[in-house]
Amino acid sequence: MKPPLRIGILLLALALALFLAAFQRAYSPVSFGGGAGNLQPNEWREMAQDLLSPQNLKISFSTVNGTPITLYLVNSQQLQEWKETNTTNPTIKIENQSSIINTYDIPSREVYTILIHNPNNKTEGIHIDLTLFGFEKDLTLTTAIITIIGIAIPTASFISEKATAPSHKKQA
Amino acid sequence: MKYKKFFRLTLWEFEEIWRLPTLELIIGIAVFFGLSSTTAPSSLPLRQIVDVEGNMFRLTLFEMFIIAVLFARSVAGNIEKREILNLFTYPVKRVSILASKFIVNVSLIFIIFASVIVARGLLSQLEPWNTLMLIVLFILFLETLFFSTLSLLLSVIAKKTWATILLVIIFFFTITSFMPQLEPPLKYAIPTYGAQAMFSYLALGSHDYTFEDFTVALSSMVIMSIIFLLVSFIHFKRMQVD
Repeated sequence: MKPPLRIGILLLALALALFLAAFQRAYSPVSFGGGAGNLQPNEWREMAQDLLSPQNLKISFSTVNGTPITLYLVNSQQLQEWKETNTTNPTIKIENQSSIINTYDIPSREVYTILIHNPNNKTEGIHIDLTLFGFEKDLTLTTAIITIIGIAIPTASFISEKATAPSHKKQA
Repeated sequence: MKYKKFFRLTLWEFEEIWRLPTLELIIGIAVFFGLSSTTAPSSLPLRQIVDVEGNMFRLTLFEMFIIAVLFARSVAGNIEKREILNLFTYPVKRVSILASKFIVNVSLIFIIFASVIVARGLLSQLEPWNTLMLIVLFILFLETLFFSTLSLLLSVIAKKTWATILLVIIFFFTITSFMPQLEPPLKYAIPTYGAQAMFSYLALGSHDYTFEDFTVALSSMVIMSIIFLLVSFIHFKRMQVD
């Protein structure tokens, strides 16, 4: 077997294994969550920092007393910006909600922080559940790139061989 | 000239592995079982490395099996089919023949499994040069070396492909079933427990493991690997092929 074809088969086998792993990860949702109590009027609070993968994120939260609050999901850069200027353009913005169940898109694999704000004039608490599910964009992209390279290498070799091979008609 | 011949031997060994579908199977198993599990997200490097290390222990069983099959095929299979006699006609010492087989198989297994561990680390945003990752890779190297020398020894003794695979599996399950009854630090002479002890001591700084436990774990893996390797080479040098 010619080396380009052999390398192509090897890359396609790698891509298949990666796809199966990505598929298994996509259909194994990861749930985590937590709560924050005694949020003072007009208080901003940073909740847990987590490394999130570029998947779908289902956010489900409810406030203890039923008053609306604001929730931001920010990456480290946005968090720094918020700390310096008190304003930021968060990755996920949920404003004035007392309870919500919604699915959002995580754009890239990095550490995110949940920021919550109590705009009311009485104390409030929150319970939040997060679920990550679906295909991870970076893993899927890597699989696609390896597949394309795995197909391109033997194809390019085949085409170049055809182009450089002397035609039988001319020889005759 | 001597190195050229040795290089040719390693190239022949690699060509044998290069045949379909050995590499595909190894890569497929390593990638799927190494990357398919998910864990709760965390931003703490220690929790991330525990995920990577936990995954390495999950991979150990598959790695041991693949090493057993590779060595059984490459060494015991060659002896069984009398193909080794062709290699004996090549003007090199017998030790060089076995060394080339050992080096190619160990390097290949380590590169594939280490790449999967590094990929797992990257998914948890741990760079390959992170100290914690280097500790995990060091333990993986010791484990690979131990299982490879064990498989090599059993291959040259058993001289039969299936007998070698079975012997490696029986040996592994016997030591992991009976030896845990030993008291620490002797318990950590078993590679799987030893690897756990080394990781907890070095990476996590766990107080459950003492320096003595760590020393027993490290030295037993290294010493046993050296003994297995030496016995294999001595036996192979004097071996009669029927």
